[in-house]
Amino acid sequence: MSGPGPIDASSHPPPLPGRRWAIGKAIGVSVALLAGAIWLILRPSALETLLPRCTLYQYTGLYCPGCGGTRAVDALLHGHFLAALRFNPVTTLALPLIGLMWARWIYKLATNRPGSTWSIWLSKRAVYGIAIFLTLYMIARNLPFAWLDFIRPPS
Amino acid sequence: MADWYYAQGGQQYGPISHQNLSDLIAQGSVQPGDMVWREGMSNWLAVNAVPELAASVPQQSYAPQQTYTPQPTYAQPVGYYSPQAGRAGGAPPPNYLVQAILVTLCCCLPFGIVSIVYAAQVNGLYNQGNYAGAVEKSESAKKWAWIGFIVGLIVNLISVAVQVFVAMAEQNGGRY
Repeated sequence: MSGPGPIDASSHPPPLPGRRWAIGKAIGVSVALLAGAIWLILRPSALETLLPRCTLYQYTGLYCPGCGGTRAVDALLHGHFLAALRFNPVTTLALPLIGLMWARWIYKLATNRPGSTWSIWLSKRAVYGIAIFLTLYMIARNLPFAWLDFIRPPS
Repeated sequence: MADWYYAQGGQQYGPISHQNLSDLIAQGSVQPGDMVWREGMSNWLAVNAVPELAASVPQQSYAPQQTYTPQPTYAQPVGYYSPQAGRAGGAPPPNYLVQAILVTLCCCLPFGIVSIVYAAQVNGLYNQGNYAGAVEKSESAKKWAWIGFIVGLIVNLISVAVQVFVAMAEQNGGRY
């Protein structure tokens, strides 16, 4: 693996100089994610108030695209998919994707694959679409119509 | 001649042709201290330590551009990852779309949106054969995602500190 060889799948470059740091970063992020998940799963319900509140909501009363996200993750970790959708549909649907990205990150790091790990390759139009969608999502969450309640987190 | 790999920030990029790597070095996108490798080398070396690449380092006022051949730009439909385009410049630089979306979702909308807009442009430039341009947009996407993350973190830390302070003050009979 470290030595030069014919051009085939096994002729990867030797481990990077910065590889140790990259591995440390991956372990750090993974441990933090796991610790967060374990905390959400095992936390007694009496400590409900210990979940961090959205700063924007706290001071302005506005819902951001991520509002209800923590509770959505919490609900999902407890197997309540519908409750999670209710708290934040976008976060709930994006979570499996994020899990996949994390798995790919670890896989690429473990196998020393070249190339970028944290990318999703979508067309320019699709990415602009995401930006516009998230902006409209935030606006819609704050419009004063009762029929839009389904995209607002319950308080 | 074998293609090069180069490393920045603990991540490796490439394979990239000798000409394209020389261009990146000449532009300063790849620094003299960055590590490079290609088949036949037993380990990574700094750009400075490789004579044929060190010649492209911009400090030298006389940079011999022996045989400059413009890279062919492939007329391809923009919008998907195409391995053929990789021949033009190397593997695509990261577009940081995941981080950009996460920052947007986690309460720092404006910076996250800026980052997403930069992320959107990485792929298009790459597919047009503009490798250096793609790297530049990639770095902007990364920068704005970090700015959003740090601003969000600081604001939230202050907010939590204020909440704790208020809660403690209330426990003391409402007197500060």
